Amino acid sequence: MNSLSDTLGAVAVTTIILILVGKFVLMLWSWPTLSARMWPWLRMQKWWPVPAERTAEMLLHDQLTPVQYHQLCDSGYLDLSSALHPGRTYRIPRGPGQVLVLEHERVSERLCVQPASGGLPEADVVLIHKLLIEADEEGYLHTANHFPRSIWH
Amino acid sequence: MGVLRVLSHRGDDRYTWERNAVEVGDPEAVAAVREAERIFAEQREKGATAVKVAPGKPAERIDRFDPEAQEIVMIPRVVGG
Repeated sequence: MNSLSDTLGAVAVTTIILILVGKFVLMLWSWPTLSARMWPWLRMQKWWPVPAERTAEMLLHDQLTPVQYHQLCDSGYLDLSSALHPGRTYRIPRGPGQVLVLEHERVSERLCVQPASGGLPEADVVLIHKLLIEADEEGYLHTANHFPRSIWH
Repeated sequence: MGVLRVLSHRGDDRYTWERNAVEVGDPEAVAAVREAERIFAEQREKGATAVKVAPGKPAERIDRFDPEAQEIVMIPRVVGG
């Protein structure tokens, strides 16, 4: 009887420890600074189970300069200077969120642009914003829905 | 080597051709570049934007297939969210 009670006690304690460890790992995982670095690194590993995400991350890595890629991994966003408007920077987030427009380092509006068809890997979406802003900034601004600072601040 | 990349939910699909071999009329290379051109046109019809990319240069929008390009990326149609 004592042996059964000991076993059940051990199982209960082990379960509680596993739950606490799991919660701690999840908390770290969702911490923006860490997740912005961890996910890209994991996605680039050969064993990563989603080939599309791996391919997209590799392509993004190749298309950005080392400085840009490090900025994206460190901060979770990519800053891109405007070719048309001096003093303007587009801040492209990795993951969900709108592109911020900064005029002389002050946020002036948010832009919402997204692929018409869903399901693209996160890294591809970052690359899409980057390439469109570089190659066709006017078209990009024309397509985007604009949310001026006065609306949301 | 020329590369056409089509971004999609699969990551990206790559179509390659040997630029030098195309210049000398190698049939295999010519067929490869024709296939890339066909896919380029097909994607453009679907509303994709084509950009030419090269290391150290900003991306450049193109409306016609460029067999001399080192790399072309087809960006699926985007809309305001």
